[in-house]
Amino acid sequence: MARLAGRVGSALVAVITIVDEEYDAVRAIGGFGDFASDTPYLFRTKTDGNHFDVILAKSADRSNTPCTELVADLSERFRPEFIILSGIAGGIGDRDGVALGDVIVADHVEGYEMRKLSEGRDVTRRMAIDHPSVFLRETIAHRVRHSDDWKTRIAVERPVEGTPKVVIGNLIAGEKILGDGENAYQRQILQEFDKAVAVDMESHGLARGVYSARGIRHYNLNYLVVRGVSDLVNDEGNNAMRKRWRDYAAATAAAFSMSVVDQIIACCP
Amino acid sequence: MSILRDEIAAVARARSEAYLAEMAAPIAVNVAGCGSYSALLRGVHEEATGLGAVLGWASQSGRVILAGRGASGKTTLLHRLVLLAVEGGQAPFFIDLSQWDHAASDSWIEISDSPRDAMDFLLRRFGPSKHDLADAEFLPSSVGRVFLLDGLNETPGSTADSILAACDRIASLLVNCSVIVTDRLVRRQLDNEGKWRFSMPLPVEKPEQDRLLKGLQIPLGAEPLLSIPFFLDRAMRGELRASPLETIRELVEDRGGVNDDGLRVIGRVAFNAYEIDRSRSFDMARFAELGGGAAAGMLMASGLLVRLADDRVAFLHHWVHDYLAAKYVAETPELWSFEHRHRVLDILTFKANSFDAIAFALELAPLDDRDSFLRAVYDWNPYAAGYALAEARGVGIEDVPRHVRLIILAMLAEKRFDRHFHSARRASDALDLFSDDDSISLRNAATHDALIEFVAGILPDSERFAVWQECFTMRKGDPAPKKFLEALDDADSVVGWTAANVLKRLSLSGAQKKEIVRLAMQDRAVIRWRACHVMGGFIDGLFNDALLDRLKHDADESVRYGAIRSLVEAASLDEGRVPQAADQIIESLGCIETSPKVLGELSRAVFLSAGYAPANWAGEISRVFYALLERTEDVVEVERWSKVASRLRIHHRHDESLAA
Repeated sequence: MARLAGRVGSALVAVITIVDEEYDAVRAIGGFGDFASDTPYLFRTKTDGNHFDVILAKSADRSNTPCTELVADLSERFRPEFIILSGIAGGIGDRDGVALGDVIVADHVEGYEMRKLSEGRDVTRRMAIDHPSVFLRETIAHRVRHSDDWKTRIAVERPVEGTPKVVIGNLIAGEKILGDGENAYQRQILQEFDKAVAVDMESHGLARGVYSARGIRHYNLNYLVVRGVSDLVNDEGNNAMRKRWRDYAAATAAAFSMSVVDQIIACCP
Repeated sequence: MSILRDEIAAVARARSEAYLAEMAAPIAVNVAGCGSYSALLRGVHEEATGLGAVLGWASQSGRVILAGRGASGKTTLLHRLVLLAVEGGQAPFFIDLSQWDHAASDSWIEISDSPRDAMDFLLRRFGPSKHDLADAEFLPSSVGRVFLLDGLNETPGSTADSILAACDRIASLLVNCSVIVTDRLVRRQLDNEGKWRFSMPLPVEKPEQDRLLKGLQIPLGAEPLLSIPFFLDRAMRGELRASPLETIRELVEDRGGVNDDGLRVIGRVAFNAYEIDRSRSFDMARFAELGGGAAAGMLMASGLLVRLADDRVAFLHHWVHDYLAAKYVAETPELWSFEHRHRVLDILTFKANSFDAIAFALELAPLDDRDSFLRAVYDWNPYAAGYALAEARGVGIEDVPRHVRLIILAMLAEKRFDRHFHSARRASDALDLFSDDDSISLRNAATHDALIEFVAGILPDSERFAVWQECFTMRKGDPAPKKFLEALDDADSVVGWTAANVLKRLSLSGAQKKEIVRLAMQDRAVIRWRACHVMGGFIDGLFNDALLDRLKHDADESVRYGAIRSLVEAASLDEGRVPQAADQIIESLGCIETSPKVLGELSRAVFLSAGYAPANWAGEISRVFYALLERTEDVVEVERWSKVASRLRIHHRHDESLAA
């Protein structure tokens, strides 16, 4: 089947990362080579014309809006069929057994920053977004999850004994890092989104970007969010914890994400 | 190929062929790409190439700005691009922004946040047919969609920016889509400059001029105009005169057959059209309102006035309209008196978006009044004074006293070292338009000290210049003379603003600081504004309190605008004060939000020039925009403030990496 092409060419999958650790972790195991044409994105394999199997991109900055813009740019240049966000997140420790180093695969993404404060009430407002792809989660990620092969690709030593597990659940995203269990605002957010298992700063931007990109007749972009747990936002010593686990969490996310990528390539030649 | 594409192409082709048929003869004009926006504005370009290259650039980058001076052939080139696109199997959508009016501005506010709605509005309102954005989307993905927008400078400044933002989003969103926009040599606020390709039309080459003129007699002194398509076309019709102004004057006065009284009325009509309709097209009733029915009839009969739909009319060329409105303003000095200049010059330029009329007014002003007109323009918008000097083709270096030019250009040159990044860049852009020796020397001054050195070395040719020079060349940290504080109150804008700029870099006594705070409470708004401007140069608690007070309580928007700029500037002088300054601005957001102008300036002023940002700047000041984000429930506003915070971090990260 002919793939829809962007300005530069077409890509089956685009992997998005945000911070250096996440980018380096994917790059370390992804087999990426040169930049795709004159773009700042790396690719692994190029076939006839400018068709790329997978490209690797890094957001210009933390937070949601740059991630939305990155999706727009990737869509314009490559029209990828799938986007995987690979990175780290704060886990919510008392939910679904989430532990440090685990991998979160989001089944639902929500933004928590948009609020309406009126007449003593604090109400969440929502903007239209796409949610993570059911196909990617229930077909591709499901297959990866049920094999332990992805764990062999974790290229960083685990800080303590143990094995990462994959947790599927809700992910919430805002503009600020949550990491203080005593903070009233954080407690309020975690109470309101009582099914959330992790918190990050970019997934909502990704979801918004995909929603926007998919708003045309010819393009049906799917995405998946894969987050390694670098800290538990409601535990003490959050910053120190994140420093210790960050590289490993990025590596677990990268290992799972690239296994998903390889599975996609195998399934959708 | 699809039927829909063929329909769209047929309409576009018919419209463009009709436009091109009006030309005396086709004129070959080459274009060239430019490496960046700055290169475009400096006139630095790559190799000349044929017009077809523009479609290639559009396909590659999705976004092309084709910018040049007035009459350089941009509209004609865009119509030719339509024909090339049709030949290439694409679907071109021509959008004529010259018909932009007051009603369009009102509608735009409602829909500009959505790129789809925005482009759909432009197509329905200014396109050649009933085809809308849905048609563009219904085309097969293999068909290229090209949106060609002509005359961005015909829209108000902030609207022009948001039109480009909508174009950017549409180019990204739609499959196989590109936009080409014609504009003047003005830097727009682009979301991401790197996504755009910049290009310019080149002058008509001499062999082409000779081929077209075939020995026709050309008025003495008019030869340089032949490289400009509009004037070459006039020359082929035998209507070229010795200068641009003369050519247009004769077109209006002779061909139109209107006497002096009639011209005065038409000038007023032209100005009223800009004021009331805010457009080049306007209601025919404007003539009747001023008793100009007979003059309108003559203009119509001569073809200088063209009837449009809905009993609206437009002049044959926007220069005719600019000329008439400028003539009215130039001959009515009270319009550029202190009380009226801001309103009148805003009207004449579509809010500082199109400076042709200012350049015409400068040319049309009596010789003795040119100095005061330029000073009035400087007071309204310092960059416009530079553009007016550069663009006034009939005003040679010898026509404006050297000291007047030097003062304006030197003040622009000093702004190149402004702590506020956007101000510094605008000043550089304005200065880049000049190529005379003085301008080059001012532009080449690598440091502020070198600039002062150069200006100090100029032999004064007038008492006025000597007084200004003494003030301007004061060194950083020198004690401020008493007379400079008094000059803040001067009715002459150049004297007042020079004093304000210079005082920022001098040393002030406690009594002088109290005097500046007193001036910030004075009756005249411009004096309060200048006093606020001075305070931005100091880390001082008294000044900080006064600026916060003006920001929160001053009735005049310009003073509040000056206050927020100075609060930001002063905060940037001391890393230790940045967190407190951010908190104070956050506490004042309720007041700041009441004025889009002040709020807009806050989001621009925080971007500092290279080397001026303390290490904690982006992190601390980002909090201001997150606070704004938390104050809104509007999706667009949330994205806007999140984007400003992010852009600020990226801007200063780049700054840090450059410094490293």
